[in-house]
Amino acid sequence: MKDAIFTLKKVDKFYSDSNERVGIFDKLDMTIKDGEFCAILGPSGSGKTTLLNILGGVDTINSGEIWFRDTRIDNLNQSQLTRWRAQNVGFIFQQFNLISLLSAQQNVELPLLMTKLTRTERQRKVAAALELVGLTDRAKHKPAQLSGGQQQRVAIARALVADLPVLLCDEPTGNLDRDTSNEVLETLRLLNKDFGKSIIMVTHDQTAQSFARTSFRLDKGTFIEEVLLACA
Amino acid sequence: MSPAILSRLIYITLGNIFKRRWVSGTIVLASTLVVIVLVGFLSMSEGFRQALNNTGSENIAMLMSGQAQNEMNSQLTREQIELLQSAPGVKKLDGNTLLSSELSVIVGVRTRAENIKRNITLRGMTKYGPVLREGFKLTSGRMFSPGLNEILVGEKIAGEVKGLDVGNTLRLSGSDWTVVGTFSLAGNLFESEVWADLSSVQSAYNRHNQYQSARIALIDKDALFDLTLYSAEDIRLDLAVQSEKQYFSKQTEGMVNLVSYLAWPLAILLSIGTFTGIYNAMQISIDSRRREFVILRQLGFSRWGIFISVLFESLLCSVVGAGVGIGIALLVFDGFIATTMGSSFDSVSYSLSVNGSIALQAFLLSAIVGFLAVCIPAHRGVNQRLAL
Repeated sequence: MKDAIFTLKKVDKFYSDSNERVGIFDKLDMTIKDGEFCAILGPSGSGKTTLLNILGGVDTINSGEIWFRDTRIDNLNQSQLTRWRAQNVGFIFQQFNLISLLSAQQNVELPLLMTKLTRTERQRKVAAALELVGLTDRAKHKPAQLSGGQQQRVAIARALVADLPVLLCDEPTGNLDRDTSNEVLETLRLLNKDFGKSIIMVTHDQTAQSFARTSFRLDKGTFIEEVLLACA
Repeated sequence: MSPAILSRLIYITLGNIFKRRWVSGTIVLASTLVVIVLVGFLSMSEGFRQALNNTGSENIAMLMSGQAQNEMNSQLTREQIELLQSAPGVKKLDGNTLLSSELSVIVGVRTRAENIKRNITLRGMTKYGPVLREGFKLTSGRMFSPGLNEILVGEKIAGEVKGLDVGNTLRLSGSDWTVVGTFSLAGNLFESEVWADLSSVQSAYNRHNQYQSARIALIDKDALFDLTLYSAEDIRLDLAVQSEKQYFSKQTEGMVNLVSYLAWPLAILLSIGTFTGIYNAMQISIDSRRREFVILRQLGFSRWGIFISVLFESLLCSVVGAGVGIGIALLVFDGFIATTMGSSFDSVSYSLSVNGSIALQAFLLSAIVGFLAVCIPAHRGVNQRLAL
C-alpha cells in the first residue's frame, strides 16, 4: 500500500466579493497516493484548476487542512511555501509558461538555480533533461523558435530537471495536436513509471485521461469519486 | 539570494530593457531632462561662485563713502583721496602709495550676436589701477595712456560686444574712444569691464574731481584694521573700509543665493514629473511581465529577488539617463559664458562650471527618483496572486 503524497481534510474554498460568495469546495476530503498518475476530471467551473493551485501552494484555502506527506502546507507562510514549492513541485501548464527571453536550456535551468549545484552540475542535469524529452538539438532556441509541442516538452524538462517528486499538469495537451499530445503524454507516463514521479493532471481530454492510472471526478466542488482505470 | 539567481534575474531584466525599449527610453529621457535642468542651474551658481572667488583680494582695501552700498552711490572727495595717501599699513611703490582712485559709469553698447543693447561698466582709474587687480595680464595691444580717450577691454566682453576689437573706435558720451588693448584677470568679474584713464572718464562725463572709490594695496590683510581705525579717527574721512573680497562677496551673494535656491525647487518640481513618468512606464512594464513574475515565483524565486531585478531595471535606466544628462550638460554648459545683471545695473559675465559635486548631486537625484518611482509598481508586481 502506497503512502499518501497529498491529503486534503475538510477543505473549504470560496471566492467572495461585496455582493456574493461563490463556493468552490465544501468540506472536501481527498487523498492522492505517492507515485500516482492521476487525472482530475470534471466540467468547467468545477474547481479542477483551483484544486491544482491549492495542491501546488499557489492558492489558499479558507478552512481545512492540506498535507504533503508529513508536512502540513496550508499554514506555511509565503517564504516557506516558496521554498517548499522549489523542493517538491513542478508545474506544467497549457500555456507552457516559458520565459520568452531565455533559451530552452536557460528555461530548464531555472529551478536548479535554487539549489546548491555548481554551474557544471546544472549544465549536466539540463542536458540530461533535454535529452529525455528529445530536445538536445533545440537547447539554444528561444520559445518563439520552437513549436507548441517542443515548448511543452521544454516545460516538462523544466519540471523534472530538479528531480521533484510531484508534477502538477494543467491541461498539458490543451494547445497541442493529437500526435504531439501523445508524445507529451508518453513522456509523462515515462516519468511516472520509470522515474517514480507523482503526476496530477487536470484535463478535459479523453485520450489524456486514458494515460492516467487513477482519476478523480469533481462535481460542483463537493463530490469526488475515485475511479481505478485500466493501466495503460 | 545566490549569485546565480541574481545574475539570471538581471539577465532577464536586461533582456526586458531591450525588448520594451520605448518604456526604457521614456525612463532614460525623463531622467536626462531632470539632470540637465539641475546641472544647468547648479553650474550657473557654481560658475558665478568661482568667478566671485577669483574676484577681489584680501590684501586690497576698498574704500567708499560711509553709507554707500556700492560704488554707484558712493562719492569721495579729492581731500579724502589725498588723506589716504598717508594712511598706515599701505604698500608703496617708488615712494608713492599704491592707490587707485576710481570712477565708474554705465555705458550702453550693442552685442555682436544679437545686436541688442547691453550695459557695461567703463571704469576710470589711475595708473596703479591694473596693478591693484591680482592676476592682471595684458592679453593684446597696450595700456591706455593718461589723458587720452583710450580704453582697455576685458576678455570676457571683448568677443561679445560689437566694436571692441583692438583699433576700433567707440563713441561714448559724445567722444570717440579708441580700443588699445585687452586684458584678462584669471576669469574674475572685472573681466566684464572696460578701463580707461580716470581723468579722461571724469572729463568725458563732466565729473571733474569726483571719485566713487579708492583701492589701496595693504602690506598684509591685518593692515585692514589699521586703515579702518585711521578712517574712523579722522572726521574728514569716515569711510566704509573693507577688503575687496568682502565687497564683492556682499555685492554678489544675492545672485548666488537666487540661482542656488532656484535650482533645487525647479529640479524637485521636474523630479515629480519624472517620478510620474517612471512610475507609469514601470507600471506598464510590470503589467506586461505579470505572468513572468508568477512563473518565477512558482518555480521558487523569492519575491525579494524579483523585486530587486525590477529595481535594477528602473535604476539602470535612470542612471543611464543621468549619465546622458550629465554628458550633455558638460558639452553644453561647462565653460559657457553667461551674462547677468550686476548690482550696479551693469553686465557681469562668468563661465558656467560643471564639476564632480554637481554631477554627483544630479546623479543621486536621478537614482533616488528612479528608486522611489519603481517601489510601488514593483511591490504590486511581486505580490500578485500566484494562481494563473
